[in-house]
Formats: sequence, structure tokens, C-alpha cells
Amino acid sequence: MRYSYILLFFYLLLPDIAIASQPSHQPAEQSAKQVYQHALHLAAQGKPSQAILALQVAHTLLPSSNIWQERMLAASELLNLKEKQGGNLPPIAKQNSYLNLAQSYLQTHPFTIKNDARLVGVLAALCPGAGHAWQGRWQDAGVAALFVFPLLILTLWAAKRRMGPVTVFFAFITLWLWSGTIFSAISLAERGHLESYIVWWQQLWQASGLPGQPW
Amino acid sequence: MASIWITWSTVVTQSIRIYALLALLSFMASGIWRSMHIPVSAPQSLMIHFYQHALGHLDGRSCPSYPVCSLYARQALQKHGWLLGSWLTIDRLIHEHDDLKDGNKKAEHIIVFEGQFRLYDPLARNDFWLNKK
Repeated sequence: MRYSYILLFFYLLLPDIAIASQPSHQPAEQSAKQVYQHALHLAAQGKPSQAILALQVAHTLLPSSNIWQERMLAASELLNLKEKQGGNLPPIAKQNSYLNLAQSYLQTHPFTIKNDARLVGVLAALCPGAGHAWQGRWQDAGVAALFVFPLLILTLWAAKRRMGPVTVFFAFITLWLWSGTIFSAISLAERGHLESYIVWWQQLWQASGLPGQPW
Repeated sequence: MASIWITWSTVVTQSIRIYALLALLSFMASGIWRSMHIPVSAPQSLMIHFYQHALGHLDGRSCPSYPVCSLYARQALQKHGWLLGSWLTIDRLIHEHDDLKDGNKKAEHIIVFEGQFRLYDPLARNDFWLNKK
């Protein structure tokens, strides 16, 4: 009962919660569940650090016999992993069935980087469109090449004709467009990396068996 | 003496006319500028405003993404300045082709806007990595 009061107090401290709707006496189970759900709601709203803090504080307050204590720890570890975009969970001193499940999923489904942004950038610099083509984005590669090659030919033509300032003008436009296509290739690699990481992390969360969806 | 006076008065009258015309045109230009809500600190937005207010209406709203490319470019320029902003705009123009291919379409990125399916591709989806530590 003592823990339910502590948890209820902590729960009321969290923002965006209607105090009037709280019953005066709640079992620890119910309060812990509400804290957990609210933390997941915060994570889904894009406030993971607040969610992790709420889960960690609630984890320290709950008795070890409570099932929600185990869940709080596992959820905070998984949210922490997502925050750092890590691929491995830290070793846990105590047995946690949710983290054990997540760990076994990690062993069979490790996160692998599909496209390295640096390699993609180098390819795009060597040949406009090659960075996009490397990522399997063939139409984008064609557009990137169309952006650069006509201006590049024009610059070389102007240089051959010794057109002075006109050559410099075309050279600047080519430089701008070429660097833009390199930027685009790197940006797509970074975006692809993040999106595939989030999908992988969501599968990891589901594999852990934790209730709720913090996304 | 009289002819010199006539020539002088003609020059003055002509100058006053040109001055008045320039003043009127400047006043009109400032009025148009004001109505376009262009911040003084962002003259690079002028081209985008010209596209949005003059050219964009000619070919209709053909951009398949949301926000449309011109608005995206404006947001990118305002947030990241002309160089990064223009690169982000180039990136948007390049990547929307493959993003719209059936195999690459993801349900969470397709929205219905004004009765049409659009690719939801906000600036935050593409510039998040610029602030990465």
C-alpha cells in the first residue's frame, strides 16, 4: 500500500494528467500501469528523455515483486537504445524476462547498416548520380545526372572557348548543383539508415513482449 | 536667351516627370513587396515568392508531395540559409521520383490532402541528420 501512495504522488507530478480523474485509493499495480502508459505516451510524442526519466524513477520506487518494475526497466533500456541509435543492449545485473527476449532477438536479427553515407558521398562526387544508383534509386540517379552533366558540358565548352567570366559563372552553377547532388545522396543514406533503424527497433520492442507502442 | 530658358524648363519638367514616375513605381513595388510578406533579411526567398505567386498558378498544383516543393524550399531557406537550404531543395527535387515509386511508398508517408494522395515529406524528415552530434 505504501508503494501505491508513492507511485500515485509521482504520477500526479507528471504533466498533462487530469488530477480530478484519479481515485483516492489505487492499488500499486494500477498506478504503475498508469505511469508506464504515460511514459510511453511521452515517448510517442517525441519526448523520450522525459519518458526514460519517468520509467527509471518509477522503477526505483516499485518493489521488486511487482511485474511493472521489470517492465519499467526493460522499457527504459529499449528507449535508451533508440535514443543512442545503438545496436546492443547493456548487460543487466538482474534477470529480466523482457530484456532476455530482446537479447535473443538481437542475436538473430542484428542491425546492419545498409548504405554507408561516406561511401555514397564519395560515389556521388566521382560521378553525379552514382550515389543514388548505389542505393537502388535509379530514377533519382537519372535526375541527379541531368542536373549536373549539361552544366558540366557547358562549363567545359566555355573553358575551351576561353570565355572568361562566362566560364566562371557556369563553373559556379555546376559546383552548386554537383555539391547539391552529393548532399542529396548523403541525406538519403542518412534518412534510409534512420528509417530502417526505427523499423528494426520497433520489431525489437515487439519481440521483447513489452505492452504498448511508444511510437 | 528665350530658347535656352525653354530647353531648361523642358529638362526640368521631364526630370520631374521621371522623378514622379519612379516614385510611383517604387511605391507600387513596396506595396507588392509588403503584400508578399517577404522578410527583409531573406531576399533569397524572392525567387520562391515569384514562383508561388506568379508561375505556380500557371501549371496548377502539380507537386505530388506535401508540403509542396516551393513551400519546402522556403522553409529550408529560412531555417538553413541559402546554401544548405538550396541543397535541401535540390535533394527534394531529386528524391521525390523514387519516393513515389510503388515499391518505396510507405503507408505512414502517404496522406490525403485536398482529396488527393500526397507523399508526406516534411523538412524534418530530411534535415534531422544535420543536427546530429
